[in-house]
Amino acid sequence: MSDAANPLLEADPLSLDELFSRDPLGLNDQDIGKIVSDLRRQRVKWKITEDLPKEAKAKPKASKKVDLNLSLGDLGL
Amino acid sequence: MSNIPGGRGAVGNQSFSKVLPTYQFAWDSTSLGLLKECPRKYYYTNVLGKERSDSSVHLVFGSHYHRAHEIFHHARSAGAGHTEALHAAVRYCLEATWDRTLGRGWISDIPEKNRLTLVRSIVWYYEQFAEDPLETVILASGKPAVELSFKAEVGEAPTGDPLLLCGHLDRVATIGGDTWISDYKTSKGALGSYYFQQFSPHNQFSLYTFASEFVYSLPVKGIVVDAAQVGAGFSRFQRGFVTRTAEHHEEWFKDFKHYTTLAYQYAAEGYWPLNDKSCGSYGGCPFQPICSKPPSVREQWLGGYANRQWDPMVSRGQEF
Repeated sequence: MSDAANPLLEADPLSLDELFSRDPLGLNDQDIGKIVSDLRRQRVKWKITEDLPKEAKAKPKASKKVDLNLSLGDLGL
Repeated sequence: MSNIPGGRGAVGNQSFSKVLPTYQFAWDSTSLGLLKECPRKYYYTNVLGKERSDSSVHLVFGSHYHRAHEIFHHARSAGAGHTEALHAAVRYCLEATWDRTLGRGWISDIPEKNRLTLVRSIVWYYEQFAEDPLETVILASGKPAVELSFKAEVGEAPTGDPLLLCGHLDRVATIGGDTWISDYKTSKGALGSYYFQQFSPHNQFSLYTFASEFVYSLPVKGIVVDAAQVGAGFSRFQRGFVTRTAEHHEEWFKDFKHYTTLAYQYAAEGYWPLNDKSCGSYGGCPFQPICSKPPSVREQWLGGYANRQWDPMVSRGQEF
């Protein structure tokens, strides 16, 4: 496959982790902009959950009832 | 108490008297707060200049968080747009937490306070307050009223030195025609009315409003507290308004004179009593391991603590 046809070689912006692991003196304005926009996106996601009513945020509790009447036959071996 | 190894923290500290070198005559909220909390803790920290060698993650985080806000406001008042100012603040956070020698970022052992949560808190704060009605006051010098250091004489100390109040205001701003001192706080705990109750009364805020009103004749309504709850996966913000009356100020100043007189008595007697009711406060006193030992062996254990001089006279920003 030629380079031009390889979609993996298209502009692949660095992840937040990668940008944070680089010497900040080497970061350009675009990199800083990417950090800001990624963090803004994280906030949008967080806000969706944050703005939900309390009842909707509460995780469903696991049922306390556990059927302990099991036998080896239940394993289907 | 004079033979403690390395216990010469106050020597060369300009906030201490030359007449009585263990007496501090220039007070900021940190020094006064320590004295009020426990005279022995104050003695170890300010007079001897001791601190636990592992510097607090909270202190490092808080310091960078404040500085990033300062950079944002300076950039804005210099004409930068919101995004440009935010980029400058983010760049500061990244550079200030990068260790050039080791070639890596600051490693914190607290999941809520690290490089990522620092940058995230700044970005999310300026998302929430993108249209902020709070406007930074512009000083006569044309500079924004951000990180203002103040030093004011409020009387005479028993040593004959001037009795000074010192401090640093994060920002002075206006909203709805009133002037407020703006202060940033970070917390791991939840925000809400209970959180803001802790600021009335509050040593630092009373000192700030007292200094503004009575020393600089700057009538401020109180303090606008922009609190950040920083979690591992989120940063939540809430703004609270804390007011003070003239009566509050009168009472606070009376107490201030009372406590600083006590500091003189402790220094003159060479004895700073231990307040054993505050050992567990604020996550535990760093000197609790020292005070738990018999008095006869405490001195040798202080050698394991780092030396650090706290001098309120050292200006951190613009002179106010």
